[in-house]
Amino acid sequence: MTDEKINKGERPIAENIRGRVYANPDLCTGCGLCMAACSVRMFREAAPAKSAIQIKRDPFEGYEIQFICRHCEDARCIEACFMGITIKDSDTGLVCNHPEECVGCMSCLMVCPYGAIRRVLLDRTGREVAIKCDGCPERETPACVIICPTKALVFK
Amino acid sequence: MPDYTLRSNVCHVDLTTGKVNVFDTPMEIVRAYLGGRGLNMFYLFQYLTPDTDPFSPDNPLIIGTGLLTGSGMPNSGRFSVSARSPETGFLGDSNIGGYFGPQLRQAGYDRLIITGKATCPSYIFIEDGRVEIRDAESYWGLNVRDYQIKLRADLGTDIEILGIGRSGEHRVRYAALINNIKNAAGRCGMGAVMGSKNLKCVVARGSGGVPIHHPENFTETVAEITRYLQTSKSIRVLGQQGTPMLYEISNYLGAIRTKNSQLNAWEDSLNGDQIEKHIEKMIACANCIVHCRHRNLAGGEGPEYTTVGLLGANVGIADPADVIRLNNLCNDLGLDTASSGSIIAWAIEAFEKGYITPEMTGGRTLEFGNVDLIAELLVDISERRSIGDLLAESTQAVAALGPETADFLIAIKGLPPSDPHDVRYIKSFALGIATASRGADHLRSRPTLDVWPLPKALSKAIYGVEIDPEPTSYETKHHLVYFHENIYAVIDSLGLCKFVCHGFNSPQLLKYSHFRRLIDLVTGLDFNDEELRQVGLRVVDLERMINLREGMTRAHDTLPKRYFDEEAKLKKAAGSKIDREKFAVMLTEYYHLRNWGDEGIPTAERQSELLSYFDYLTGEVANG
Repeated sequence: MTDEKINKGERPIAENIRGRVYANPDLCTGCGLCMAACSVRMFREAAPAKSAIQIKRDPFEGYEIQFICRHCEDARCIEACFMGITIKDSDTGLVCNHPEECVGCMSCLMVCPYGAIRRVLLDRTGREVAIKCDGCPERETPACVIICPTKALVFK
Repeated sequence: MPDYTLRSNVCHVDLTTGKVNVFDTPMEIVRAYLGGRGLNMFYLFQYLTPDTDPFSPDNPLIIGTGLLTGSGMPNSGRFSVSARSPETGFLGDSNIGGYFGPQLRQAGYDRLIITGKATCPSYIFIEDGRVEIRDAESYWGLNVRDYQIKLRADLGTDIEILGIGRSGEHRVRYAALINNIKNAAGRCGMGAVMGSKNLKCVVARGSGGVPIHHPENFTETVAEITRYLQTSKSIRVLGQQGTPMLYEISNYLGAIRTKNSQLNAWEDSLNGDQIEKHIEKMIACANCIVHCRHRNLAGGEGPEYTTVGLLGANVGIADPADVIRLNNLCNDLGLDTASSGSIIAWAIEAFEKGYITPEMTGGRTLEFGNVDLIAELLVDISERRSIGDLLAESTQAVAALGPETADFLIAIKGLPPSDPHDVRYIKSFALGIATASRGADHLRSRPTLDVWPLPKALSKAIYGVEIDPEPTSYETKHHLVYFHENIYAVIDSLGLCKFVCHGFNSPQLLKYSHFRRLIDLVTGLDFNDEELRQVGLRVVDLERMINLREGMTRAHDTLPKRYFDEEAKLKKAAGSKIDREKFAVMLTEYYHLRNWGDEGIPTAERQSELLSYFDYLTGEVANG
């Protein structure tokens, strides 16, 4: 996908796109509050496995890594989604899927180079869907950034 | 439809029969005890037959999450492990952070009660409600790091593990349960209880979570409370240095247990800023905003202030690198660092006094300051080898070494204090470790604010009564212990960390009014401040009933003999000791405040009131 396709207007991309979430791994303590905020927003429960943002810790190897959607300009998940429900919003530049219509093929998950798409079992229906960061469009700042106690997550 | 969102279930696993029974805790009992330590005590009272040998299959090992554990509330990563303690014979209870508690809830259970004994080394695997007892032959015999790495390789790295090292397998009476590298339920020998059941560990993996009743307020409330907590200096310094920040002030006061409390102050080389030089990064438990845990440069985690004191000053070691070496070793062996440092220091003094002879040590001279020797002893203890077999008995080794050795044993109710603080100077601290229900312990009641003279107006505002501002005074101090015991019982039942608890390290932080707000956000349950305070009173009273049932009397609520008879020699505390008569008065005043009479026994009315809650249990559970 080309920049022209995304950027339907005349404005340069930088002004057109809503900010993104970035992580500073040195400041991340692995507490997982970002995952709680994300899963509570989407599923009304503090369930790290159901969060779009993922913090992977390995105490034995000694690291904390953050998996966050970058809302790529040339997003492979969009191309991979044969349902056509993963799309880039032309106004915000955010790449969103629509879990309620997702059939759970997980093609998007397989092609994402950043490991930022998550397979989640919807308790209600027993259906598996792919979830990903939608950038919290209803908020000025995404929930994960607001809740991060060490400012390891920034929104810009 | 109920107007609350709550799950508080129990999964009872009988390792002897392989039977698994799941039931819900009735709402009346949840309101009375919340969860965590409170509900653990409720079920301990129910499941523990008095006089059960701690290593008997009948001793229930209870792993219980708090009402808010894993809920995303600030510092809600904690849970409690309880059983009859093999170290003390009284109630055993240990609070632990890390990641296992939230993962257990995500896997579908809020509380495990493990009884019976497996026929071969086993582990319990829990995944999204499914419970299996599996063979642990290939993990048995491995220490904490190795067996967890092997399990993660076998099952995936998205599991959380709570289990034992070699010391737990060998029933060392102060073996810990450990999650990851150093998150430890260290106190009271809960690891030995697990080992006695032929159980290596419990493994949890869950895709679920803790339901939130008011999700719309979640992020902003947590962020607001985080900002409030982070205005506290204690929170900021803890996040930078961890608990070793406390060493400097205690040492300044002359309140660092040194060489088995023969001395009361030690080298500045163990100050928090010196420990900091050995730290790669500060990391957190689940949902924690404080991040007080160190990832150290020697490949482990820690040390805590407890370890700095008890595997540093108390055994005569002054080099932070040596302390960290012993810290990492203890964690890997699955030993409680507090009891380890206390028992080894006692053994060294016993050697110096001739109660332990070179014949008993394999020819070795036990001496303070010898880090290689102490490392050897720790391994010997965990393997029950040589003198280690005796030292693995903890305070019960008095039976073999002679009653005279009890005179210089620093322990109460059979438990060495977890705190490296020498309590001869601050009298409220002394009362608090004497009344603590699980044995000598500061985390049941530590009135930290009493370190400095507290203005009377401030003490009145916090405690409701004016407290004598002089730390060395015996007057009014029972009010401090009473207040802190109550609120700590509540925070332990909620599954929150004491570092965010009002009065622990700061006159600010989270009070009852905050607790009820968080409870409402997560569950929708409505409590007022007084109802929450009553939970604390109830937990403390029920713990007393458990201990009375196991034979505890007023005589157990005392201090190590040395603190009555020998004056502290150094620094601000020089000349301090505990006056027996004044201590007795202080204790009686405390009992009266609790309505426990002169002998420390809750009234018959109170006991029957607390017993009436057991009527809510039905069916198989009620029948035991």
